[in-house]
Amino acid sequence: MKVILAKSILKANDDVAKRNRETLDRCKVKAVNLISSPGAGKTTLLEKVLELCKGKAAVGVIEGDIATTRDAERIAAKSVPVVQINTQGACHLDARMVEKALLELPLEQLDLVVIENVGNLVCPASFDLGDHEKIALLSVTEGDDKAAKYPRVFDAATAVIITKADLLPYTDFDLDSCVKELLQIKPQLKVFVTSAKAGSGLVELVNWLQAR
Amino acid sequence: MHELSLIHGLLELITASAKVHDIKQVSLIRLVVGEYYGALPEALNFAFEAVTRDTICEGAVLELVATAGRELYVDYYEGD
Ligand SMILES: Nc1nc2c(ncn2[C@@H]2O[C@H](COP(=O)(O)OP(=O)(O)OP(=O)(O)O)[C@@H](O)[C@H]2O)c(=O)[nH]1
Ligand SMILES: [Mg+2]
Ligand SMILES: [Zn+2]
Repeated sequence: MKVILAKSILKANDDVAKRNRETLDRCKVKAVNLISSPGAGKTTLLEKVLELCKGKAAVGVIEGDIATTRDAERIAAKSVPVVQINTQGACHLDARMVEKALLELPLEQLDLVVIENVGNLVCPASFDLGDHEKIALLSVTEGDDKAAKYPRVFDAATAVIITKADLLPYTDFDLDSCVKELLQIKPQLKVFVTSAKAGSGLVELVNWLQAR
Repeated sequence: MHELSLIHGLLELITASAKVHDIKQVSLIRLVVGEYYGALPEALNFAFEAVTRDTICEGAVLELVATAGRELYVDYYEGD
């Protein structure tokens, strides 16, 4: 017997993602999914953003890593509710993992949930988590061609944060050309240039987040 | 790893549908994979073999159709 299905194999994930989004909406919480290659500076940036949000917005964090609870420990040091997901090898978070993590957060008391995805510039873009927006990070030490070479993540994002700008003088990263290529992938992308180390660009980022 | 999650999704989908249609053994699955997903055919086949062991899809032919777009769906499957 032949059965015509014509069904997406990500449907199971997408169904749970939809549920997650409904849960978040019910609690009036906005969720942001941070995506970058390993070490681009997601946790460091988040630490700074959390400091700037103190007293202005209640933020909860979900940390996704293949192993260890190190990132969650760094976030917990900021006295913010945090849940660590260990993916046991999987190179991305999926909606089911986030569904479980959301149960551990005091959603009723939060304004924003930041989900730090597993460091990976490829497949996190395929898996909807139920977030409201994806923000991609790209550090200047990775090279200015990465947007063009890994377009999917940047296409799925609403904003891109170019990180470690303090290192620009020591790299051949061409900021203009990178921004140009980003906008070629997606003209409506909002691009931030930040340095968590020097503290630059962070206020603009937090203001933008708060406005949304 | 990415391919493995996709194949898990595929197996879930087929198993649910096969139950409805009272299909006990699946012989062929036609999967359309858009370039967007960056899934490698060899890795998909390898994951398929590993994941379907001892399931109704064991031994089934996985027919992959590559497209340029963003599709990722099961076109149809065959079984008895
Ligand atoms: N110079 C400089 N270094 C930075 C900056 N932000 C982060 N780093 C360094 O980059 C390294 C990686 O930073 P993390 O914040 O752990 O990166 P991550 O993206 O969270 O890494 P994974 O979670 O493992 O994917 C650390 O050694 C940071 O100190 C920055 O703005 N400037
Ligand atoms: Mg991190
Ligand atoms: Zn993956």
